[in-house]
Amino acid sequence: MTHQNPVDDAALLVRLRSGEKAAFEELVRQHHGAMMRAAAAIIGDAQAEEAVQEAWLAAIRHLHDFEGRSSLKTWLFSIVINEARGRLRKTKREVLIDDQDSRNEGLFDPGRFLCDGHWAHEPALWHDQSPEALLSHEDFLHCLGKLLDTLPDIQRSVLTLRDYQGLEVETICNILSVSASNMRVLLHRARAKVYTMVDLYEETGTC
Amino acid sequence: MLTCRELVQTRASDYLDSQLNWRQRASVRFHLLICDHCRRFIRQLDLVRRVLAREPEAPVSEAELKALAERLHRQHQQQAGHRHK
Repeated sequence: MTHQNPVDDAALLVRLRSGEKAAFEELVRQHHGAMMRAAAAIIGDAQAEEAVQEAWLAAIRHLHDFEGRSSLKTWLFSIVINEARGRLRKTKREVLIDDQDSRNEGLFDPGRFLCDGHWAHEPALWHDQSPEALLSHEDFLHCLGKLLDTLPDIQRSVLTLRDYQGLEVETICNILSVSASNMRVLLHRARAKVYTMVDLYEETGTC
Repeated sequence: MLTCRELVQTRASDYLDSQLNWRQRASVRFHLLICDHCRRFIRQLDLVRRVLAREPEAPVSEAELKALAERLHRQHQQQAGHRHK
């Protein structure tokens, strides 16, 4: 992931607007991967490619309107996410409410805590203590991918935009049109599911 | 007093993301001071966050990047042409 500061953005913008070919390559190199990821988080891999192409073309069309109030990255993101959400709306009815089914699972399983609110059992120790350790297991990556695929769309979007892309809470709320409190609940639900998967993986080596 | 259940189910992510007000934050801090189960849990949830941040991106081929950059550059030149007419 790249963190562009506004100064770099401004310099790159000048080169883009003057039509310098290398600047376009730099722009694409910096942001295309993350934009693909953001689009895929919302509408799935199959449709992400087309949405991102459209978003890029729209961005270039409006390059002269960009005022630099946000970073270039945030601006590109809002374009790709709007594009992706537009497509999502066309393909299915969007459900913005949280999934009800998993309310009593994982960390929200009533059996996990005693009546007085204490842990019923202590949380198990994990062998893997770092992201690198966990991500070095091929089967873990598979488990993670599978879990992310099963998350409700809105949870996957929030989780990807926040934890993977590192966008600010406020930015995400604007992009997805959800309230801050709603977003925080969705984010925690999604993380809790990943937590439960990792916990099972650490215990059994499967998911 | 904040219970383990409340901390785990409603406060943990907001605590890690610095989204709590000072009073809520103090109650989480105090709880973590006296509860090793929740300390372990918070460390694990933080690990989950960091795992997600580093999950590898699907690689984009060099040829694909170059082709896209070229297409965008071309479009930009065409627009510039229109603007100057």
